[in-house]
Amino acid sequence: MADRSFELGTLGAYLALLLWIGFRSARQVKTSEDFTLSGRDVPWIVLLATTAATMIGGGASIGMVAKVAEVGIAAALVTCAWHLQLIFTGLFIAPRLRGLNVVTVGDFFEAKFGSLAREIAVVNCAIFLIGALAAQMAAIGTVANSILGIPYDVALLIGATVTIFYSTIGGIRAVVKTDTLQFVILVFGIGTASAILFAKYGGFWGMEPSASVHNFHVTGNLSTTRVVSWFFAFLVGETFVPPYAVRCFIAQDARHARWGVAGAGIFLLLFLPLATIVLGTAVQVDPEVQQALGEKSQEIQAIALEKGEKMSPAEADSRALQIAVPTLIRTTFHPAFAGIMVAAIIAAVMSSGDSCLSCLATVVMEDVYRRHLRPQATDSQLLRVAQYSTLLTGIAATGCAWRFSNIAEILEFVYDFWAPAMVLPFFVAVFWYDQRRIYAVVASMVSGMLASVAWRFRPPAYEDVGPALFGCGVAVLVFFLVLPLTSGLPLLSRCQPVPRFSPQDPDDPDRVS
Amino acid sequence: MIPLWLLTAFHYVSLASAVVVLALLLWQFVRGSGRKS
Repeated sequence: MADRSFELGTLGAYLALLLWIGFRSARQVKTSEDFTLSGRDVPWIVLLATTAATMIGGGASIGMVAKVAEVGIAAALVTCAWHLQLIFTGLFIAPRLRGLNVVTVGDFFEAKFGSLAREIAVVNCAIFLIGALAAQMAAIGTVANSILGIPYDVALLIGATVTIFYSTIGGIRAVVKTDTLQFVILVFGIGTASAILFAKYGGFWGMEPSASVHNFHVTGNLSTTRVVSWFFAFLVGETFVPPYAVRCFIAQDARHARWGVAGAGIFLLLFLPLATIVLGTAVQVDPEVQQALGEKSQEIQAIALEKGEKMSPAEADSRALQIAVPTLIRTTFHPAFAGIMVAAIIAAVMSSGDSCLSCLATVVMEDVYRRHLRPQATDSQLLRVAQYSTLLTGIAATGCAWRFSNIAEILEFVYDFWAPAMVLPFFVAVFWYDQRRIYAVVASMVSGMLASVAWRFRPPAYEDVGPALFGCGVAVLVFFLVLPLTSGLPLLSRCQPVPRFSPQDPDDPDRVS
Repeated sequence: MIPLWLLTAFHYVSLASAVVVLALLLWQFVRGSGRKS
């Protein structure tokens, strides 16, 4: 119990610090641009921290450590796809997005493909953000419950209240500052833990004899098709999603946007997979952790039996892995450091949730209120709408998380939905833009979306091919089929691109002089 | 199978990158505080 007191104390201090940052940030919020874009004054190293903190959610931290423990280092290698897409986004997309001076992803789509593409993009952004926000809120409850034993409802209520509070009063300014703090705690906690565990077990040579047979194989105990499909889903699943797009918009200029976002990808590529491999392999070789996992697996099977549910030992072992990281932390570290690690894990989840919350408020303010309800709104009205949107969407997402706590299912759906509609248009907009391709882009967005939803009901023989991969394939196919048929047609008014002033990027071909 | 020496080398790169990024953030923080005062 004394151990838990340390952990709870550290967590309490950390939450208090977040609230204090929220209060301080609120004083700097005077306009809607301060609230939604942090005054567009964020330097690259802070941008790197906030982007990386957003990327490392519950799934990328303890979720992936558990996955490495289960299937081997293949799980960590597959996550390189996330970091590679960030590097790509930073180098090629971020300067363009910042240069156009847009506020939302919808603005970018309107500038390139007209208002119809904008509306489809806004629907996609809203679905992604609502799903991701609900999943991160649920993750706050689940993680605190599995690590500290706090009841799910209580943990959800406390975590969501703090996140909603600082996001509502401080907007993206507070989100950037809290993300930076969360990044420092995360990198310090995960980095120190991996260094200590590496030394404790005598490096990889010391761990190899006790680790699973497949642990150090490139594909682990999975099929090559499964690993490739998984890699692809990670590569496109989060590409250009609003939380990263906003990081491009808030940079000081195009150069800061490029190196902030690409720097986050480079850093995460160097840092996270190896740290995850060390932690995941340590779970496999630590006898105390293995004993605890065995007991938990038996407990899960006994509960399933009581309820009359069928559960194989392999499935019970897989579910038991949720306690792997907390058990590893407690058996290895001093309670004070275990407290920091617990705060780091909660920080990972909260920093991803607050970004979704902030982006959703910007979508409501800019893409719904200003565009459809009140185009002549004053800045103070927009600021108020953004603040109320943060509060209300935060409460709604908490309600969803209360009702549906299956994080994996929610996240899987939103990731599968995003990529087929949105990734190809981004590529066309940046590398192969021509107004004659607008119809083909819009057709690919609609068909990609529908195909990924339909593929969820696929035959079991094609189980290894995910909806994201199938939807992207259909989107590309439709694009190239429709392109020759529509490239000569005159543009309807809803497909006319809207040029935007881009003072930041003199090389931008869309710049209006 | 991935050679263990390669994984070990990357592990040290991983730790070094963490130290460098945290130092850069500290430098930014100190510079920012200096400007305010």
